[in-house]
Amino acid sequence: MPNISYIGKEYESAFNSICELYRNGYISQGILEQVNLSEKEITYRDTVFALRPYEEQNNDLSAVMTEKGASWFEKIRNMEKVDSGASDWLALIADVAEDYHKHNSFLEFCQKDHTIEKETINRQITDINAFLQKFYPHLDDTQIVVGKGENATVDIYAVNFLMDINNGVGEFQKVLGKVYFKYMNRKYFLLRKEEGNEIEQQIRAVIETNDFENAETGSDITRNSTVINEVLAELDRVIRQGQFTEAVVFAGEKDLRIIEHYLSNGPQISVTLDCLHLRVYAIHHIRWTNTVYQVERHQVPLLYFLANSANQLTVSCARCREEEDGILMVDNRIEYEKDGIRKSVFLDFSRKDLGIDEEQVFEIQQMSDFSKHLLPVRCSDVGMREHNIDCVRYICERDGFEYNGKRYCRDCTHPKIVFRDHTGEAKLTATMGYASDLNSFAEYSDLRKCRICGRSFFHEFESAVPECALCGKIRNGTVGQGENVYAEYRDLFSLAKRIFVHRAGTVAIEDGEVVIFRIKSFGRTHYYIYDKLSMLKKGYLDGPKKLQFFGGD
Amino acid sequence: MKTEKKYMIEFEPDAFDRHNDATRISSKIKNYSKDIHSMNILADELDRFDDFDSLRIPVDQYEHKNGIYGIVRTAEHRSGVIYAHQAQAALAFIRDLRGFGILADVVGSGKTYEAGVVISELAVRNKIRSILFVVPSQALSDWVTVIEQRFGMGVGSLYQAGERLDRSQIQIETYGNYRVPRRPIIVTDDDFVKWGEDCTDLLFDVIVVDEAHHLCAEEGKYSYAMKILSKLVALKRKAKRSYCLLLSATPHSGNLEKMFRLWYFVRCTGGNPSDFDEKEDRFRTAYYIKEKEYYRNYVCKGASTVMEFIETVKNEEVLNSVNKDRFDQYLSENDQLLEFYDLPRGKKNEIISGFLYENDDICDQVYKNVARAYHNRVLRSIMIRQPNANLIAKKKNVVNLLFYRTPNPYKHEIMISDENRKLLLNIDQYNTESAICYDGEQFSVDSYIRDFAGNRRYQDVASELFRKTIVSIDNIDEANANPLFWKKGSLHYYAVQMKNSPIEVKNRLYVMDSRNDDSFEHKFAALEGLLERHRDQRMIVFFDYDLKRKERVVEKFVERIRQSKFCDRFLEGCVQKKTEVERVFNEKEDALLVVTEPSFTESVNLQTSNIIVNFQVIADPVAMDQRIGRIFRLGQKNDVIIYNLADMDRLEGYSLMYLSRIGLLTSNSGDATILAGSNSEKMIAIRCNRCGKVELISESDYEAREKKQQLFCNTPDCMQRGEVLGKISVTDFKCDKCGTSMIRSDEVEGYECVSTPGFGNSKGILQNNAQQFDRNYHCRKQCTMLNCSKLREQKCRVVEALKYNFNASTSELMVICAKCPDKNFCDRKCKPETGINGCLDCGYATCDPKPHKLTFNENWEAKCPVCGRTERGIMRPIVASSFASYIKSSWDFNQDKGVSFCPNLLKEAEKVAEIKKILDMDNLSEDD
Repeated sequence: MPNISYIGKEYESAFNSICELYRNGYISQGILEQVNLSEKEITYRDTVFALRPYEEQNNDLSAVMTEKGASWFEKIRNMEKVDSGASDWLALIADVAEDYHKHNSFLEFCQKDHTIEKETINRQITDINAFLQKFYPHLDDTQIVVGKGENATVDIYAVNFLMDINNGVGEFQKVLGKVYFKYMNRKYFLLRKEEGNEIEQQIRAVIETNDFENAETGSDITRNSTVINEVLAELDRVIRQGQFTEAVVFAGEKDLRIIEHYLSNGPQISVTLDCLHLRVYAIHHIRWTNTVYQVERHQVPLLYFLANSANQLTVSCARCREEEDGILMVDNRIEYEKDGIRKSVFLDFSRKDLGIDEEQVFEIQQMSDFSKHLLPVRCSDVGMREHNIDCVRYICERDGFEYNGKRYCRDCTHPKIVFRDHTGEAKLTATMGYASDLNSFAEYSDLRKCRICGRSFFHEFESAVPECALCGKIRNGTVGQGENVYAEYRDLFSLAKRIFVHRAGTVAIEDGEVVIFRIKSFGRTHYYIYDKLSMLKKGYLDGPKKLQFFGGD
Repeated sequence: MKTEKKYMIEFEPDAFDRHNDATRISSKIKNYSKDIHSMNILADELDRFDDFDSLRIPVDQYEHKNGIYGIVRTAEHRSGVIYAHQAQAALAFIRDLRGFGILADVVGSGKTYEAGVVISELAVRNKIRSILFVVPSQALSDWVTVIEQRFGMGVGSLYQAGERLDRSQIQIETYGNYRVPRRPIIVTDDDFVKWGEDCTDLLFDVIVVDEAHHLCAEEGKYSYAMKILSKLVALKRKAKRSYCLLLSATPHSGNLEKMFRLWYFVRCTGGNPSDFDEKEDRFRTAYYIKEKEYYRNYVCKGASTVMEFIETVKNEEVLNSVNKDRFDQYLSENDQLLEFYDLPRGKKNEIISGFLYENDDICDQVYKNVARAYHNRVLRSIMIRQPNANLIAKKKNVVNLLFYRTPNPYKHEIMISDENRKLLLNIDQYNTESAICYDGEQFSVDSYIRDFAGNRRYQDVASELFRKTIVSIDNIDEANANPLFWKKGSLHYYAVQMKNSPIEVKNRLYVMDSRNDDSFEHKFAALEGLLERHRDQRMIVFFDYDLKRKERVVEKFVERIRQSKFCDRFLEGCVQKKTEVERVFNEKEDALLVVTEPSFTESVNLQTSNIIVNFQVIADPVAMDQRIGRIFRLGQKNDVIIYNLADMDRLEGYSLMYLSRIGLLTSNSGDATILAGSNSEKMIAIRCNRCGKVELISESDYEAREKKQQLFCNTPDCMQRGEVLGKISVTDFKCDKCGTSMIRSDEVEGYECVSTPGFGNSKGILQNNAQQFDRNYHCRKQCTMLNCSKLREQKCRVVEALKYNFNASTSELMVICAKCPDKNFCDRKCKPETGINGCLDCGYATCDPKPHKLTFNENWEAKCPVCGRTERGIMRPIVASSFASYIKSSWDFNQDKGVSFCPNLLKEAEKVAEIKKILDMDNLSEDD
């Protein structure tokens, strides 16, 4: 026999909500035992909750004054353990809500028609110019093109949750909230509450006009389960990194009132709210189209600007936008690290100085991703040859290199390569040659050509008889194990030659590139050089060449 | 969001479980649709369901049905044993304050019941494992009865802890890191302080503190109690069990600055315990200092008292809003535009008040805004405080019996006119049903006003009749000040105060012969009439206990009443027999309790009576409020009647009209406390040392004027001489080291001695030579002789005589000494006529410290007789800042031939009446 629990007028609204959800088939079977809509009775577990006017409520045994005292003080009176579990009524409400959300937790919304007024465009262009002026004052001949370039559509995810919060004391209150993420470049970006609120406003506008039938399910349904895990992980990160407060968007007026109440009745300096539980109950997705602007110079795109609904700008490098560091600013916020501390600067375009001082501008230019993109290159090498003007380009860090404090383009038509020589010093290869003894490059001024093998070798000083170390050895006869080397390579010579070789004094020496032979034959000495790499060039073995310098056949 | 305040949401370590939540999200994506939209709204409703949004226990469940539990329903409980306002307060407390804050409904609203409902609601939601009640000792038994029986916690369930918390009695259980006493505990605030910080390891889910305004004290035991409480709350915060009810009907007594500690505690969730230590602010945390700065500058608008607050907001409203143009126009019309902004604050206030007086529409709006600022933004920002009109409180009816001295006491009938009606007034029957004869019919004054007032207010007509009666009795030329009163402008004063008094105040005129200076007989006769009228009712009679001996009438009254036919009803109210007196008084239905000691006016519950008689009216608003508080308190079942008997040509007459006018006698007790404090808290009474002129100004004004050196006396003579007004400060003294006080008593015309008597119980008296500015105070020879061990041993006849009559005069003692047969019996220095010099360091003196002479320097400072030698303590003057000091000194000032007294008092009354007006407008919402 189930217990009967009477629900009064104060709980009528919740009671009716359950009935309405049930009537529309939004409560799964098994959650409620029975619902009698006409009698206004809900059977849940062992209790029948009956909505009745107060006069019709019979004795509700849960709260009565008995001969032993008040029933609500019974456990205190008897010093029994107090059960912290919620009452059946609260459990019913929680179960129904959870069940509903479980089946309606991943929802697709649509954006309101993305039309933008000319005035807004002008304003956003003004903001872009202010941005360029602030961070790229040297950038000339630029042009801002509206609606060109970057794909203006981004994925927005709203994580919906229920929080139990208080201001440190008193009973916790339930507050519904959301945190928005933008998915770009395979990364999630947390949206600050300003933009979150703008999106929220627009979604509400769509809802109010009943214009949400246009929503199309997410473009990549196969990613759904991944998205859930990714988005929740992002939320977890946001909570752990203390960014939650600046991103939370409260769901309704009631939630805002609760927060407002805490703030207006809390300490003046700063109010700390405690969250006991946060339970995510839904994720909403929306494909969001922004207004896009391309900044180009001589038809070369440099930067892309996405202006969101809150007129906040997201800036990415035109060339590196797919790269991890290609996004320079997200929704007016620039982040960088200084002395190991993460810093965040918010640009306020309503202010002439954008709300930042010169020191911050300097720090952003030097320490943020700004330092890796749109780096100016002015080179006279090309220009002098062609139109007698300097070549000016803006390149990303990965597209250039620095030599002697000057930046060069990697894709320059006059290629220059920086090379660190044996001393470790960086030098341009244009001024260097290959030193065979070092198996490395060296300044031309330090290279000498071996009079025997003809190869360049490193020698700082001029010499009348330049010889590389290898050739020097073989000429001086200081070749240990030379016979063995000769034996190893003798097959390169013809049989006839080999027969007449005098074994004594015939030696060979080698390094990675060449083998040099000293052949004694008929009392004469001949020098041969064999280029090991020639095999690669021709695809078959070529014989050793006689070095004419020493004479011989 | 309206508030641009910084905030941060912090998460408990396990607040978010993403893995678990991931299982609750379906990977099947759905399009948002109309159906889902409407269902989402319903689901959101369930998500937001707040269990604290309504009361779970139907209020009729508290009613007594059988057994001993529950609240017994009486005729008063028409709609249930819990009144609607009590249920509303309890609901607001749990719904809006979430169980942490102040319940501050006015006295008589039944806050204990409100607390009972709150606790019951928490209990029914399983929120209470442990509970602590901290209550005043006099309310302990009430609390036990209410919680155990009326709210049914169970008889004996509360453990009444003493000054040491016996842990074996409270069944401590451990939950995680917390020790939770399972037995509910109740303790008096005195004992709670003695627990010290030993109890701060205990976790109480709910703490209830009654009379929480005491916690505002910056020093002493209550300051310490606040620290302990703050520590307990810190533990509760950690354990997430932070319910705390602070109860107070009077969160402040006119001094807003003092309320800061409560503010800090509530707004900062218990505050930082170390901030409640006794120390200077600069040693407290930056958090405390910033909050205080905000409280002072923004919440209280820089004002430290209610009076200052009202003035500040009023001025702001006039100067910084849409009213500015009209005000500037007003200034230019009065040629004050240029000079106004350079005027001192007090002058500015006067001009602004004049402007508001002339512009009713603006005045009304300005007062509403001031009231909103005070009630909604100051008080209700930290407490649940319902409008007075919503509460059940008994009414106070005040009847002033004014005794008018006239050389024409035998004029029985006079003719006066009222709106072209010729009335024949029968003086002898003035207070009866046949006071007025008009058109052949007889009326009482009240019934005449009722029938003929037309559109006129009751008070206007009554005041006019009163004025015309006196004018006709003595044929006074109205153009001139009434020569029959000591102070000029008195008739106007009485008429204006009557006109502006609340409707509950009724004035009765008694005529007496000015040739017979003693008003006692007239008053006694009137009292006999009252005793006759209330023959079956309990009555309490109070006197002025601070008068000089010759002016005291209490003894004479007792003697007369013993001889009268009402002697059977007589009961003497003295502290020694307090409990017994209370018992007898409550048993005897027609008891006449004559309070003979001033201390009997505190901490006595006499609400079984509803009538008090102030046989003499005192000028101290706080003391008057306390007298009324004996009967106007919780448990009073009837409307209260307060009879005040005052001689119109004495200070008591003026004081009575002042107190009536400001509404102190008629308003509820909470407001009365604020009104009483309005001209005492943070006020300074200053006086010209030359002419004696007195002013009452706020501390801040005093400081500003002192800084600008504008504290000159403006009486013509003094102005020429450049006399400066100084604080009235030569009556009471206090040691800056040991705190020993010397409080002047007019009754003994001196100071009670600070020594511990070595013999007998009689306290000695420190006196000077009775000249006004004599700065030498010394013990009396009588006292030193009584405390001399040598004289006692030798059975000195003088000492023997003193044992019987401590107040025997020196000449009487000298006669006894002269008759002593043993001439060599004592030294010459011991004789009554030789003064006390020989006793100052005499080895035979048994009192501690030894007999002493205090010589005050030009700053009225002297070495403390108790700790002066060891601690180098200095007795310094206690600044007399209260209204009582002001009015007494002002009354004594007669240099101006009594011209300024009445106008000044009228002005003072207007200021305080303004506060009353604001206090009454407590039901305005921000949108009204």
